[in-house]
Formats: sequence, structure tokens, C-alpha cells
Amino acid sequence: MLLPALLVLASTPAFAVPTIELEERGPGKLPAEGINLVDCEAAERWLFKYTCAACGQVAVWVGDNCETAENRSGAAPTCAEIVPAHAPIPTDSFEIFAPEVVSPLDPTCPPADTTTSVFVLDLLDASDDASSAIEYPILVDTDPPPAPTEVEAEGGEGNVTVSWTADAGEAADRDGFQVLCFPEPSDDAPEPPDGTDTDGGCGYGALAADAPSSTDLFCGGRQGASARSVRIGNLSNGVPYEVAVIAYDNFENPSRLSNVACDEPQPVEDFYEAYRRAGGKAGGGLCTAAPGAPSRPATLFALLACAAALWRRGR
Amino acid sequence: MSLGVALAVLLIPATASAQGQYETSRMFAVELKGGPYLPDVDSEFEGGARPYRETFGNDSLTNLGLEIDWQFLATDVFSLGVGALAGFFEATGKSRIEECVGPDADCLSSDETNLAVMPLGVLAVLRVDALVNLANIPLAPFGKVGVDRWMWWVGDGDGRANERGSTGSGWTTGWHAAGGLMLLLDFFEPSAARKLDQESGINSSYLFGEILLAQIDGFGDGESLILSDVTWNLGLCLEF
Repeated sequence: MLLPALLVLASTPAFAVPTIELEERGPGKLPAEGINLVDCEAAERWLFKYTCAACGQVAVWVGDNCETAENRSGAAPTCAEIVPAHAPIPTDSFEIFAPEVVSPLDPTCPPADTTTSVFVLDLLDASDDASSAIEYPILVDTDPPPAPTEVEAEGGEGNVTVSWTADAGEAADRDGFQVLCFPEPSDDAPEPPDGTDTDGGCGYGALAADAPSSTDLFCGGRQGASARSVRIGNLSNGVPYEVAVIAYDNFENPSRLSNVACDEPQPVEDFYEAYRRAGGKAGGGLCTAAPGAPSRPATLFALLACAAALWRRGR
Repeated sequence: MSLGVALAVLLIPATASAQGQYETSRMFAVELKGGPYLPDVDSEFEGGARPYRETFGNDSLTNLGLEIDWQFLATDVFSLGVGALAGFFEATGKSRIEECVGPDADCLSSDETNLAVMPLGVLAVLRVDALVNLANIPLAPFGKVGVDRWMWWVGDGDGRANERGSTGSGWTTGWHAAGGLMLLLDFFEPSAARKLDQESGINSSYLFGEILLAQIDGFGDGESLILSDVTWNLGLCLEF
């Protein structure tokens, strides 16, 4: 979430107050979403417009409490300079890249869950505290959630049910899960590998914990935060499928890939099939004529129940 | 006592009970009840195949039911009514892997299968109210008989099960009989019962237990899914 720009110091007359406004950021992203690991690793560009026509000098810094000189140039600075101090101008723009926000003093993408601010400072003297400043806070979460564990696959008829466990302590910062499959449900079945490999997969090697998760292998749709299993359908009987799961936190940071599991769909016999195989004769549908001569109440029941069944199906 | 006097006693309208002077009129009874149920599906195969037991096991299911009776005749000695009932119970299990050889646990797939049953029926009810109304004992024995037509359907995890074009659903007709005992709750809190009656029209409330014989086998036609059982129910009955 992005907080509104805050005036943090205003000891100079009102006309010296600087302003800051976000003009644009990476495509498809809203300012309120802040910066996640994907944004950081892509070095997403943020473009700001700022003004301070009546300032002494104007500078732009990023970090914590940058209006204080000690935090800009002291022994243990917390801020990095983005735009050096210069004469005031009516309006100008600057750009900043996500790693500079995540880690101002060492623009990289370490795990972080914090708020970092961009400051426009009104400086009478660059070595002094700012006489006024405006702050643009940006939420940062580059700390990925833990990967799901104990992923298991269990084959059904034309499907595999994937189940997993997740760290209960991370529940508040969990947005959901995504299963990855290989081969994909719509693919033609590849030649099955020989045997099962040592990491629990089928031997394809298409899913690996260290490999980046490809959206091409996503299957089963995005699952909610409380989901612990999903049934992946439209699979081919007799073909081994590798599956794994990744978790997403509330900032859409993906976890590492879980362990890889393997199983293959196979034909199964449901109760009705077992009943018929045993010689049972019942069935044929709710709205067909029943054997024998039903009584009038029975016919009424049949009609009511057929109506209920059709209504239920219609929903 | 002559026959005429006996009939007169039996047919005295039920207005002279201890609570009668406070009661609103009584015409209907609603029963909510539940109990274990284990349909005897495998009896169709006469000791051979056991598809039900192998899929769903031996555990009883929970059968929940709703019954509504119209008491068309009520005296101090007995009441007669006719009614309708509906219920629901469901067995769930795992489909077995085809041609699987090995221990049962190894042959179960992840696919669920279920048998859902909705009992429907009409019935006649006879309840003896003499103990309540004439002896101030809060017990009322009752008996019921009815004809049934139960709807059932089988799911295979993806929807309605099919086998070679035959849909896994249908109807089974049959009959049932039940007998039991009702405990009149008004007896323990008469003032609360009167207040409930005046405010909501609920005339009396009972806890009851019944033994149920359900012979749901298509009257032996040999082509119906047998859903018979002998079991029991506990429930709450409200008269209004």
C-alpha cells in the first residue's frame, strides 16, 4: 500500500513546501501495490514529478528520515542521494529504480519487509537538516514466503489430486498457491521416463526446486490461501505427471518450488460401476419409468423429485 | 363399561387436558429426527459380491429427516394423523483402481465416489395420548406405517456416475413401520410451554425415540437398489 505524500517538516514559510507526485511505474502495476521481489529483480522504474519553487536548494533522497543530515551524511547513513542539491525550479522529474528503494545504500534485492520513503528536501545548506521536506512512502516486501512442503500426488481417473502443507505461522501473509504440472494437461503425452528419479519426480526433470517457476507449467488455476489440495483434471491415464506447488504472499512474492511429486492417472471403478459389475440392475436415471407399477403417491414423489433434480441441475 | 361409553371416552375432543384451557388449537406436528442408517445394498447379491461394503465400509451413516403430520383426529386418548416425510443420508468413499491387485488400501484411488439417498414417503400415525391427558404421565407411545419412494444417486467425483450408458441414479419403492415413545417436554416446564404456545402457537413439544423398520427394496422386484435397514431415530416433535 502506498501512503500519501507526507509533509514531515515545515519550519519555513508555506510557499517553500516541496511537492512530489508519482507519474508512472512499471506496466500493469498500481502504486498501491508497492514493490515485491519480481519488481525489484526487474529493476522496475518509478517516475516522479516534484516541485519546490521557493526552496533554498532542492534535493531528492531515498531511505529513512532523510530530512536529518545525520542520516544522509553521518557515520551511519540510512539514505542515498537520488538528485543532488540544486537551485529551485518550478517543476522537474526524476526516476528511481526498485532496487534503490528496497536497499538504498546497496541497490540490490535482499529479503525485506519494510517501508522506504522518497524525500524531496528543501535545503538551505546541504550539510544541515532540511528546513522542510515532503515524503513519499513506498511499501516494500521482497521476502518470499516459505515453499509448501509435503507435496503429494495421487492419481485418479484422468486426474491427479495434489495436496500439500503450508507453514501455519505465515497464514496472515499468504495469498494463495499455484500448482505446476509436467506434462501440461493439454499436452500430448510424452514418452514416459524410465523409473522414478530420486527427488520424488517422475524423472522428466522439468520441475526443479532451483528453477524459476514458468507460468507455462501452471495448472489447476490459482488456489486460495486456505487451499491444501486441488484436483488437476483432463489428464491422460497411464502417463506419469510431475507436480509441484508454489505459494504466494500478499505482495505476490512467489516462494521457491516445493518438492516434486509424481503419480499417474489410472482407470478407477466408482460405486455404481462396482455395483453393476456385481450384477446389480438398478439405475438408469431419476426421470425414467421405474420398474413395476408405481403407486400414485410414488408417481407424485417421482415428479416432485424430478423437478427438484432438474432445478438443482439448472443451478 | 359398554361399547358406547368406551367410544365416547375415546372420542372426547382433546380440550380437557391439564393444559387444555390455555392451548391454542392443535392440527399439525413437525418432527426433526436423525439416527444411524446402513442400507443393505449388498443383500441383493445374497452373500456374494459386496460392492457397498467394499466401497463405503461397514459404518452406519447419519440419516436426517423431516416429517410433517396433519392430525385430523385428536382425542384425550389418542390422535390419528397422516403425514409426509423427507430425509437425506450419504455414503462417501474412494473409488477402487481398476484391476488393482493388492491390499485394499493400496487399491484406493484419490477419486471419491458417493451414494446419496433422499428418503421420501407418506405415512399414517397413531399416537396414544391417554397417559398424558388422563394419568398425567408425560409419555405417549406411537406407531407409524407408510409407503416410501426413495431417490438415490451415485457420484464419481466428476458428477453423476455412469456405467455403459446407464446413469447411476434411480428410485426404490418400499414401506416402513416405526414404533416409539414420546416424552412431553411441557410437563417439566408448563409455564414456559404455555408462554411458547401463546407467543408462537407451538402447542406441545416432545422428545422421542423410535425403532424403524424400513423395507426399501422395490417390494422385492429384484431390479431396485436395496436400501432397507432396521435402525432407530431420536428427534424433536413440535405440535402446532
